[in-house]
Amino acid sequence: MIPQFSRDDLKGIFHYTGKLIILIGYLLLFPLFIAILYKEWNPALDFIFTSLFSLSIGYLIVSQFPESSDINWRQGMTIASLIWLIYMFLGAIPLYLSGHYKSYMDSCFEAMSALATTGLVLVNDLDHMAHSYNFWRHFMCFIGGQGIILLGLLIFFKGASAFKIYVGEAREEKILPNVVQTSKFIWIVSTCYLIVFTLILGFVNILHGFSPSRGFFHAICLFMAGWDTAGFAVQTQNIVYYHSGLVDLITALIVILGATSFALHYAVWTGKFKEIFENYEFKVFLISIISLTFLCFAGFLKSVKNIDFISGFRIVFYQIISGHTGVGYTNIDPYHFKTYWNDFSLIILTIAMGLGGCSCSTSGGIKILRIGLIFKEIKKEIKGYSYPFSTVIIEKYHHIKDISLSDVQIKTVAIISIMYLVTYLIGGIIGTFLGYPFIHSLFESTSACANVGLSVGITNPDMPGILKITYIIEMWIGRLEFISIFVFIKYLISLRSPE
Amino acid sequence: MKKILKYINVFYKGSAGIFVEIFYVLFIFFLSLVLNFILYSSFNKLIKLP
Repeated sequence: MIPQFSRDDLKGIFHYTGKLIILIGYLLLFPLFIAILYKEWNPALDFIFTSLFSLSIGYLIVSQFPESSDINWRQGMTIASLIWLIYMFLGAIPLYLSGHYKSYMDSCFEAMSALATTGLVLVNDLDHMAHSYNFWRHFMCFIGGQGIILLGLLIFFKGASAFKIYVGEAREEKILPNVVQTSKFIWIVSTCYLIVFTLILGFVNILHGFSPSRGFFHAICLFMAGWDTAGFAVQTQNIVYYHSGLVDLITALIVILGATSFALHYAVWTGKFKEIFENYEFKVFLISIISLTFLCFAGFLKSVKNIDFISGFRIVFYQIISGHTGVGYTNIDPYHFKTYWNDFSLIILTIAMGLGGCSCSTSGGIKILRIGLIFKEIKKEIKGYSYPFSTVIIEKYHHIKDISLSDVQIKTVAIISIMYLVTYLIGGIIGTFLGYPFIHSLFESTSACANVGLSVGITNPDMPGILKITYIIEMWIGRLEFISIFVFIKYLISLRSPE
Repeated sequence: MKKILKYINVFYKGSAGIFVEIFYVLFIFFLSLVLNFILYSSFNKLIKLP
């Protein structure tokens, strides 16, 4: 029996939720700055309104619930789940006011897609969107990819409460002994790469004929959406817009590094270079990328005749990287999947999307460490049948340190993996019920739940409302990895029927 | 000022890490490129198209 929530739990939940609402009020000042910079006065008013609205609600809640005592696990999980929904509703306000969305639901879809770093879009006429709105879309990707809670840890949370909320946001690894220090390190890594790649991409854009301000605006937006594996782009055509192999290569590099575990970044950044060659998760990740590219390319060559090697490889490698890391950037037009890709290639790409990137990264999906551990367990089982019955088999793997595979670990891995697979399937079945081909709807559902963002064309402003809601839920639960959402739902049910 | 110096120090130390990570990923890219080129050049011999 799961313990019932008490109404006293509300105090802690409201207190921390209020603080995080205040945070978005201040975060809205960044796009406001961009609006002032580009002299976009109407968008500036929208951001001022949303910021003041968020700050008023936040401060009102905190003043009503000033308690800041330590919270328990279930409160931490509930806060993590709830705040993502609140950020979606608040983040969608300026998008809706921009007039680029058919309805508020569409702007909520886009906000959740950005926060959960999915990259599926419902925006109309993106090419004529004001810089500040466009920046806000990408900035939400950066906030969500890094983690709303992770940002809150820097500013608000301390003590035992911090770790309980941190875990609720689908992060378990403590790179440093303290989660606040861990959070600082993650922000340092991201900021360093932000500087490096914004400069590189900015200069590449200028070489391609962009004006400096436009080149660097595109560069910073591409980095924020790429590093946090969101896949939003400044123009409707996504990466196709740039028609540049160099931009393809640089964005591919950004997304692979974004989908790499921050624990591995920490090891390499502190001089343990060997870790990058020894890390079990990274090894599985790279083997998976190489083998899935190979298989997908074989399928692609079967369906597309007379294509030169470089063009074919460029298309397939980029889609596999994009799907595997969960970024959703694409260097082909959306109709390309429907017209040229056969079912075999689409299935391989769906598998890549479903697997996802490394744990403790900005990527979504099942996560490659879990897949690696399942293989280790299979190996352990085979060994078990090969040796005498009484033999104790210990399977080890190297992930920052040598770890022995335990039954508890395998149980957790199996539960989360099965939940992902079931959710991919449910979304696929709903899409099929609404009249889309099964392979296409499974592809789109996997893309939403694994927070990828590649689309075969199902996601568009005219898609059925029920499918929009399904994908919003899939993006939300996929990003938070189920458990905290289930605790949140349990909390809502227990409020309706207290013991 | 101290904080800025600290961040510069971390960036300096981390820059070696950045190069190692980038070059390793590029190595994987070229490995995949070569492997797929072999597939491409021998595709019609390996897989008979219907």
